Amino acid sequence: MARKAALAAAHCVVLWLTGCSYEQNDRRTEVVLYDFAYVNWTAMNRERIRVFEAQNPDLRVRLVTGDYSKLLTMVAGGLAPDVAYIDYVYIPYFAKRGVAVRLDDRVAGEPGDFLDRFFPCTLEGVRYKGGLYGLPDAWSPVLLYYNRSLFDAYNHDHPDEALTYPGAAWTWDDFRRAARRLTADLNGDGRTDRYGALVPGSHHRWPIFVWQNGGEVTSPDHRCCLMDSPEAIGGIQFLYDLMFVDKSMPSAHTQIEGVAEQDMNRWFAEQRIAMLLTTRYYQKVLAEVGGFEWDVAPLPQRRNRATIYIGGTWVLFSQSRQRDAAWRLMRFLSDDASSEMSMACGRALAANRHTAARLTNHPGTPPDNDRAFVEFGDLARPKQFEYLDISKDCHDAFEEIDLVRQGLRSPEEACRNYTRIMNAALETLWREKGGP
Amino acid sequence: MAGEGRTMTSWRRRGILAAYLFILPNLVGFLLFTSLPVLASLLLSVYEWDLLRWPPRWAGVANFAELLADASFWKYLNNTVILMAGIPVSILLSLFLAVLMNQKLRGMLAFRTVFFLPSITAGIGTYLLWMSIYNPEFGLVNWALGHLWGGLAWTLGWIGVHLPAFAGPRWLGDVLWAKPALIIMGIWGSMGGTNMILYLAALQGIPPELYEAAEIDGAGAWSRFWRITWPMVSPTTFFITVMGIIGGFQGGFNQAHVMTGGGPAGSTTTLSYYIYQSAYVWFRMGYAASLAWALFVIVFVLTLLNWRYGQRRVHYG
Repeated sequence: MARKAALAAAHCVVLWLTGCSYEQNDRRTEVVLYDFAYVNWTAMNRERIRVFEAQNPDLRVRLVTGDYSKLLTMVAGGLAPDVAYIDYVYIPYFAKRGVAVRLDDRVAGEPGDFLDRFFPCTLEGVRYKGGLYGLPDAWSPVLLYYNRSLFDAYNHDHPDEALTYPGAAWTWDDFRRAARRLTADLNGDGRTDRYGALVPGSHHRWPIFVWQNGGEVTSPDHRCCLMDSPEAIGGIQFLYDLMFVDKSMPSAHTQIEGVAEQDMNRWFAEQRIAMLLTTRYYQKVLAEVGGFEWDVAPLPQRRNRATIYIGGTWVLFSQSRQRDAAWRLMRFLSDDASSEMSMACGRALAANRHTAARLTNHPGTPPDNDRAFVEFGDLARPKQFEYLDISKDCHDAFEEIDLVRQGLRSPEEACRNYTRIMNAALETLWREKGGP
Repeated sequence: MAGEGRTMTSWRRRGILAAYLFILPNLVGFLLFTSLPVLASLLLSVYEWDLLRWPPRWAGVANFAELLADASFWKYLNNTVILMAGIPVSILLSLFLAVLMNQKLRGMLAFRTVFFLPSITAGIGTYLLWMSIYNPEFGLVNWALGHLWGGLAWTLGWIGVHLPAFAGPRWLGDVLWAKPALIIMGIWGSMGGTNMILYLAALQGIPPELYEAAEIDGAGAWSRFWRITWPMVSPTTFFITVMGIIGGFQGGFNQAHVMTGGGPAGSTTTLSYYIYQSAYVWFRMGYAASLAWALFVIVFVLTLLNWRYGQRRVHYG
């Protein structure tokens, strides 16, 4: 018994000494990188780390993956990673609380054209009160996916009123007409089996129509809400008309925030939706679906051309003790070769213009017009600014737009209520907190 | 004798020590991971904290005052109570199923297993299944209703009555239908699960001679159920009701998170989901803690009332 115990103790000592010797021999500085725990993203990040470590022998990168809750818990516990990938809407949240490092000084130490590598609109999303707080990595503007086979079939059956494919010259009227004509009750049971169009109900979609109609959600200085303007109401009215006048777009049931997104994508893949507004993230899913021709096009326009974009950015945390090393990693992650890896693994479109510019169309392999994401990307605007201290009020205001999709509010009433709620909240925000 | 006494005392001490050692891991776990967080949340409820800015800002009773004036709190409390409407139905159906499962039939074990399955099926998978079933365009429920409607229209067509085309409910996407949809799903999920097993155990604990005596006295099936079965299972009914009410107030989070996002227009947001939103979507940890304590007070008071008045109808004979 005593011999066994001695043996076990000896093992422990050997293991401890081995561990110590490893730590002592590896004198590289460790940088902690945090990203979401998607399998293909993790594999891609490991490859990026391998290349980075080869180029920077004095640094070692430890990859930690998880979700926002884990990241926030780490930050709250004083164990923030050095660099993390986050949705750019969180930039104000981290910046205002001093959690993310302002990067302007770092950028000043780089060559003068350092920021030119990024699409300008993606930089707009990572700024807070004029300061730069992130280096964008992946992003995608919302464009129009359309089922070309359904257009062809319609034109074959109705040669006198043929529809053109969606394109840069398309207006709201063209979009509405096509949506109406492509909506069909295929089995004659009185129910719609296929809808012409779908604008997802997320509040990261409807502002597109407000902007295109010449309206704004809030004033540029964030002092007041402008949703009660005729232009803004007109944008929401357009969506209402698609749902309840033309019945060419499914109404509320597909519009549950964040939940039905997969359903919508699936419906497009199942040819139950002829036109869908979504991002390049969807292509990886759609590429695996066969049986019909599809393509992408810029969004139809009204008074203005506009779209919205979603995307992620690298941020440097103020808790980092090796900011120089972390910055070297961030710089690497945004360079041409690294962003190429990011885009190749399905992370939408590279925010690095040089990498994105290498995107080519492959006629015959959908989408034919993949470069539309690059060519019309500059029209994209960031998602709605996140008013951190009044986010509950924002939620209540968004519910007013939900009620339009339910058919329980007129667009005008909803927009006026939206404005009332937001103006009251913004007034409090400026009075009590000095602004957003 | 004295030596023997000392030995007994020593054995007793050892026994007590062993007992404490056995409960120690659980006790430590409970203190660290339950009691401490509960106390922390009580403390947090009088602070304003967004997770990242340290230290939290003292708020006093402001969070509780805000809660009382918060229209959303009352709206979501109302949602929570309405979603509990399925509890009595579910209890009755559990009893009904238990009575059926208590019959002496071949293959009863298989039936019991089948009816117990929903309660051990992974929640998320079940919710995704129900989302598909409730899909207004292509789901099973509206498909079945559409066929029923079609049959009715065809029949009425013979006598010259023409029904309009079928337009089924939009279920989870409709403010009016989302709650009933969740209630129906909740009944399906709970009627055949643990409640049924508890009732089954209670039914099997009723002495058969009571039924035999009643039969000799000429009591019919309904009379036997109402005068013997129902009183004899009343302790189980009371237990299930109390637990159901507690669970009901704390429930609704998974359904809202997976199926509806709390919508449409907040119609399926329950208090537990509102607590989550306040804490992890809007980063208002202090306010979320005050909501949690308000929920605790509601559940505590209702449970006390249940014990005070519900017990009167319970038969422990």
